[in-house]
Amino acid sequence: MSPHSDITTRPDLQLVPGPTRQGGRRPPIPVKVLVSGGFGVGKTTLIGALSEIEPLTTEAAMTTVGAGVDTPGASGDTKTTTTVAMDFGRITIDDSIILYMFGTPGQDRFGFMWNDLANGALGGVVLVDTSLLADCFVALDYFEKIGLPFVVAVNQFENRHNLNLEQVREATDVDAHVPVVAVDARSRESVKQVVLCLLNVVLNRARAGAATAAR
Amino acid sequence: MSWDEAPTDDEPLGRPFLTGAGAGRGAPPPPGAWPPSSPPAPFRPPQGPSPGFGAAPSGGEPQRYEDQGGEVRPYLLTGGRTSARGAAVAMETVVLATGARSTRGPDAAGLERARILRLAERPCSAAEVAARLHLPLQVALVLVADLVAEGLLDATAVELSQADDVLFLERLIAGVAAL
Repeated sequence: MSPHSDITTRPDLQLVPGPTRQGGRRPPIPVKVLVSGGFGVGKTTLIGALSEIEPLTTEAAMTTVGAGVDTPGASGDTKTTTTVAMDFGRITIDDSIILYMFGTPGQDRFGFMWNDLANGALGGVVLVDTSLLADCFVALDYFEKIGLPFVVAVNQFENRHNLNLEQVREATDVDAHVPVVAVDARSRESVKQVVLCLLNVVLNRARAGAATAAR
Repeated sequence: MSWDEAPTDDEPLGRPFLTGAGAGRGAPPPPGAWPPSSPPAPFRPPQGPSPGFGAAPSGGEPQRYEDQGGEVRPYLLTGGRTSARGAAVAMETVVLATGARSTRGPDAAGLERARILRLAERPCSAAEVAARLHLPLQVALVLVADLVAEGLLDATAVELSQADDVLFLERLIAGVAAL
């Protein structure tokens, strides 16, 4: 008796054959890129510039266990749930790859939701408004801490060119291999160049990793 | 939440699965709330999801959230579950309908499940499901994972090796450059 014979005798285990999908193809592979930065720095604008759809918003309930809060009492169970809105866009690369850009709430108090977001992410874009430079520090710290490849993109607001790229690099104190580039978050071509810049950072790292492994 | 397929307000709703959540909250039932004070109308098959679970506990004061201008409590759609029956699904996981037919009877989430399957006739991520159907992300993740476990959706998750895959990255870069 075959070990699988019970499948044919148990109707509840039988598969229901459906009409075959055209070509029977698998869903495309997702690629996730994070866009982070302070409130109002233009994350959604940047995503919308490259996305093939109007940026969508989803609400995620995030649970935090009283991080950084002194908890009176012995229980220490201070779980709270916050709802945060995430904007995201979608770029179909080809039949088998879809790139998703997720805008992450960059404020400090939402830091706890980043583990969910960063899981599986290929890289990050830290969007900077030079007049509110410190707003991007939380994102920088987090990406550095988890070792996620990222680029610093300085949004070029009109009449707000109060820091040049070198000054931003100096102020953010990012590693020498982290690109600091200018971007116009409204321009599709400009945003495309930032994404390419990020992907090349990821590629260089993969090549370096492959070379190390080969040695 | 838009209920474009939901029955209109003046129709009696046969959605007892909603009533459990309203019970015991102390709020008086709004006018026209179920059960009606007049003798019951002849039975009409519900147009929305059929009763399947969550029958009203006896002695409660069931009410309809629609009557209060509210909406179905999202977690009723998952039967209160915050994790999936099968493997977990991430927000960026891409799904595609397999074309198989559900063998499960109608339940509270029947309408949402049907909508997800319709949306997934073209590839879309779980986050898109949530955004387009106005569901909280966690609810969408559970419903999508259920449909995957039942073989109604195929799913492709991020491959964690993609960050080290030089050929994949080169293909991705060429694709972005060609946009």
